[in-house]
Formats: sequence, structure tokens, C-alpha cells
Amino acid sequence: MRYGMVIDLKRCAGCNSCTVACRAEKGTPSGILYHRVEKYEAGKYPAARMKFRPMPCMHCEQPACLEVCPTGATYKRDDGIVLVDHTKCMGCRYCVLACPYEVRYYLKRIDNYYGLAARTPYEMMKQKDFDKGTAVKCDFCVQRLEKGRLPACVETCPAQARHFGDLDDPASEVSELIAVFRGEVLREELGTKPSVYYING
Amino acid sequence: MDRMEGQREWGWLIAIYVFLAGLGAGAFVFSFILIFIGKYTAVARIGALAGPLSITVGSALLLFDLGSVTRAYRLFTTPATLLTSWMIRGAWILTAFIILGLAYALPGFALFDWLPWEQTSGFGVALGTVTALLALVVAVYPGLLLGVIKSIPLWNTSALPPLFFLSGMDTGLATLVLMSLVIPSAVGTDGLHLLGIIDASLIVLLLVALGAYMEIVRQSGATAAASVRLLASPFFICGVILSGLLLPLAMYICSAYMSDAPFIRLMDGLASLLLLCGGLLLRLSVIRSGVRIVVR
Repeated sequence: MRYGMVIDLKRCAGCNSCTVACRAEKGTPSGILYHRVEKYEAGKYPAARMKFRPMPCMHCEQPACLEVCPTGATYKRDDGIVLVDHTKCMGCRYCVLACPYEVRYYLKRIDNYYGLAARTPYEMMKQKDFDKGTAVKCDFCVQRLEKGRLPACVETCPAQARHFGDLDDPASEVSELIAVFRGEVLREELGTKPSVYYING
Repeated sequence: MDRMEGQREWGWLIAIYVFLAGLGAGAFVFSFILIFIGKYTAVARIGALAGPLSITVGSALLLFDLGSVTRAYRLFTTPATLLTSWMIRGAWILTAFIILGLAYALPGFALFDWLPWEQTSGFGVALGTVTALLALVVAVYPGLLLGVIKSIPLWNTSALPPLFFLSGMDTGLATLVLMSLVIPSAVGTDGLHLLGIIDASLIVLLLVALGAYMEIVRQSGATAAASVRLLASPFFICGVILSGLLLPLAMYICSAYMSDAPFIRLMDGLASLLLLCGGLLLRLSVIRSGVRIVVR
């Protein structure tokens, strides 16, 4: 069992619904997003075009962040999900620097997102496991998976560009997509073996 | 090139730590050698103490930089991470150096006469040798801590550890020179000449290492080239290369040809101070200019 994601860039329109769904699901404080969409230009005029690449945590098989973590706070579950135990993290930020995909974030402060003087009940509920001065990251919505649901970004995507499943099962939707459309991982040369594949348009 | 910004996770606290680690290691190594050959021991016994003390202060800065310092004890309760993480290896190396360094340095002071070993006894020399070897590791370690980060090409090069090592050795020696100016008649004119010439040689080696480092990194990719452009700011050229290395080099060489004692003391003192400032600015610049490779 190894959870993985396939993102079809031919379908992605850069709407950032995934980013918003992620924030709604995780209740991340101001300044922290577990997910972002990189926007960039490709090609030259007159053939230039806008490109988008959603960037969740890659949940690597050989995570660079796990390798450098000195306290054992970062760990990988048997199903391939890479998590941070916030009660063990000492906030050295070595993992934030080491992650080649820049998808680890440091929770320096917990600022209110909704601009109010006090935290909203929603934020209080969502943020009860947040610990100031620790590293945080995308967890593939592990609590939703335990209830048999999909990660928030996958469920939300209006273009149905995101697919989620078991990479170890050759008959799963994600494995088939990777095989048929030649899914690629980012910075393969680093040997991190990401679990997030992209289908390039 | 759409991004020309260095990383912002690690800043001046880490830079000062890297500076103090190199300085402390360098001061200890040279003090041990001087005590071993029995020369200028009045300065060397203080230098041997300055080594572990400087590294204690540096390590304290590392702790201060942590987000959740109360969990730093985990560095000593999770030995399994020693297999992969340079940070925990560093924590163990620094701790061992501080303990062994103090054990070697303290018998040099009358207050610690009760310790059952001497710096010149068989046990003391063995202790000093082991600690001096450990000091070499301490001086190289910051280069490895940064060097294993693959996403920052300015750091991810084998040319970085020698740079930090050489700068550590010459700032350590400069600290000894400064201390020998404060302690009256500890080191004569000949001694200052000798220390000054050794430090000048180290500066030449450092200049070679720095030049090679910047050129090799500049040639190794777009992000790397952007980092070097960021690194080679006028601030760096003036503060590190001109007033932090070339000027002290000229002053040490100049003072070696002088025989007027107050003049030598003035020149060597100023040169050492400039070298220390340059060493600190070098660390700060390298850490601040670490541009990450953009993945998209």
C-alpha cells in the first residue's frame, strides 16, 4: 500500500480551488498554505503560454526532509504518508531547507486568518494540533482517508485533474494513468521518489 | 531568472554560530600546538579555553534559534537519526568537543589545580590530541550541515567545507594574536612575526579556496549563478575580500618587515580585527545568498 496522487496538467486551469479547499480543510493560519499552485510562463512570444503546477507534499519514498530531521519528528507511515509529530519537532527548519519541492513550512506564529481580534471557533477547532515553532506540511488529509474519503484537494478539483489511490496496486486508477500517460515526478534525479505524479500537457 | 532571493529560514544567528565554531576550533588547534611545543604558553592556555567557550556560545545561539527549544533534549535521545542527519551528528560532535576541550584547558589555570592531570602530562597530551582532531571536525562540520542541502547550489558543493575550515583556522589564529596583544609580554616581537606570517599564509590559502568556490559554483547552473551574483555584492567585495582578507594580508606582511614593537602591535591587532570581521561577514553572506532551485 502506497498512497499516491496523479495531477493531470492538461486539465489544470490554475483556479486554486485545491489551495482554498486545503485551507478550509486544514485551517492553516495566515501565511501558511500546505498547497500552492505555481504559475509560470512557458515558451516565447508568439507561442508563449501560461502554465500551472499544483504543489502538494510529494510524500516521497526517500524523503529528503526525513533524512535530515535530527529529532525523529518526521516519520513515514507504512502507507507512504510522510508526517510530522508536532510533539517531537524542535523547530530547527532543517527539513524546510532540505525539501527540494519547498512544500514544508515553518509555523513561526499562529496568526488569525479572518482578520478578527480573536480566533474564530472554526480556527480553534482546526488548529488544536498546531504547535508554534514547529514544521508543518500536507498530510494527504490523513483523517479523511481514515474515514474512506479522498483528500480535500482531490475531491474539490472542478476540472477533475487530480486522482488519488494506491501506487502499489497496478490495477488502480493512478497506476493506470501513470502507465498510459507516462506520469512524471519532479526532480527525479534527486532520488527522492515522489508519490505525486504529473501528466504533462 | 525570476527569483534572486536567498533563503530566509536560517539567518544571522546561524551565521554567528558558524563563525564562532570555526574561530573556536582554530583557536584550540593552534593553542594545543603551542602548548605542545612549549612556546607562548601564557597565551596558548587562554586560547585553549577560548576554543570550547566560543563553541559553547555558538551552540547556545543554535539553541536560541530553535522554534521549540524545550524539545532540544531529543538531540540526545534519538540516536537512530545519527544514521542520516548531519544536525544531530553536529550536536554530538560539539558536545564532545566542549567537554574534552574544557577538560584539556582547565588544568592550565591555578583555580583548577585539583584536577589530577596536566596539559603536558601523557594523559593531557593524549586528551589534547583527540580534542584537536575533534576541533578539525568542528571546523568542517558547518560546511557539511549546509553542504548536504541539495536544493541550494551555493551550499551543495564540496568547495564549501574547505572554505569554512580555512576561515575558521585563520580567525582562530587572529584571536590568539589579539589575545597576545592584551597579555603583556606574552609574545615578543618575534612571536607576533611568526603568528602573523602563519596567518598570512592561511589568508592566501583562503583566497584561493574562495576564488575557486565562487567560480565553480558560478559555472554550475542558473540558480547557482544567481546565488553567486547575490553573494558578490559590493558589500561582500569590500567587507570580505578587500578589508577582510587582502588588507589584513598586506598588514601582516608589512609588520613582518618592521622592527618597531608598538607599530607591529598596532598593525597585527588591526589586521586580526579586520580578519575577524571579514570571517563573520563571509558566513553571513554565504548563508544569506543561498538561493533555492525553483521546481515547477
